[in-house]
Amino acid sequence: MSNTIEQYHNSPGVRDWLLFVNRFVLGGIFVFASLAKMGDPVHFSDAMSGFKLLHSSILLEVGLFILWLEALSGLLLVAGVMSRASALILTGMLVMFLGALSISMLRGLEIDCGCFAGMLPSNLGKLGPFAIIKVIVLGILGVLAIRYGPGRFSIDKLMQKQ
Amino acid sequence: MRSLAFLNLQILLILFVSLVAAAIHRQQVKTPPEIVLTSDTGESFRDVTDGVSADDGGDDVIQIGTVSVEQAYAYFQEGAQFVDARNEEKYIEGHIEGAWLVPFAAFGSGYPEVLDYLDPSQVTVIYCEGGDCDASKLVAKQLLLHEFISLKIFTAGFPAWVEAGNPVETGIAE
Repeated sequence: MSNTIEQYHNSPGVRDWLLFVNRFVLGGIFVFASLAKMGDPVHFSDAMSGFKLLHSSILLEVGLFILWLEALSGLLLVAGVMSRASALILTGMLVMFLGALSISMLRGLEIDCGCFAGMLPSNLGKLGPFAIIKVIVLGILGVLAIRYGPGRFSIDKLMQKQ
Repeated sequence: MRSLAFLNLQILLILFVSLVAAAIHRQQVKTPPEIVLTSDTGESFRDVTDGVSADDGGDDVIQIGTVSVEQAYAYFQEGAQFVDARNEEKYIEGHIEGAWLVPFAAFGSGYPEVLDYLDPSQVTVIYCEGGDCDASKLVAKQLLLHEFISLKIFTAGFPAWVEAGNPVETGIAE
């Protein structure tokens, strides 16, 4: 009997799978988007200039930092290493991005949001409600990863056991 | 409390590694040229896209001539190619007759196919929505990278063109 209970507790549940998928989707999107943009960081910094929030002299440096932060945090989240920290960073970035998008919309700026490195059709990549919804959905995934942790399928959990 | 301190430490570590990686990456990326807008003299087809070096900084500065609505119309009559840097929605609503849709976002995935239809050696007039719209400048920078040698920016943009009663068309050009 106790053996069955132990097996039950040791076997992965739906929650573990959901947490894994959540981490994989959120982290994977950031890794994919940042690597695509890393090939042409000047284009990314030019896209950032459309927001008119930073001085042009530091755009390239800030852009590169953002890209590396996205790539590293995304990778760590997918692997389940320092999961809560990387989820916190990604969610924080999403909150800042949401702020930048909202300010730009209120200012009536006609810009490409720079999301997903032009991988979306131009009408979906432009600033508008779709861009805002996209960021909010990703933010919800981030909050779930912070709240419920990495789940069983993560290096964090393996290290905890040892 | 201890786990919170550990979490903060992990965040700092990720930020630090990203900062170092960005700093190393920055060394590999050439500083993009700064675009300075200058007034066009009005001479048709004079190439004012001059690459010059700044005296001290060493960074490239590229001057691009701006044209008024009258000058833009003169270029239009002489057969210059026009590039609409706005988004597709605005372009469909109305654009300068014969203008090509080349939004900045089109360069995000590499080489926009529309460039095959443009001649880099010809005078190219770029416009957007006027006012503080930066799209023309951003597209100009990309066109320079694709070896367009004679660019003009029509700063007053499409609203001024319409106001002047110059030829416009709607929809996507075939």
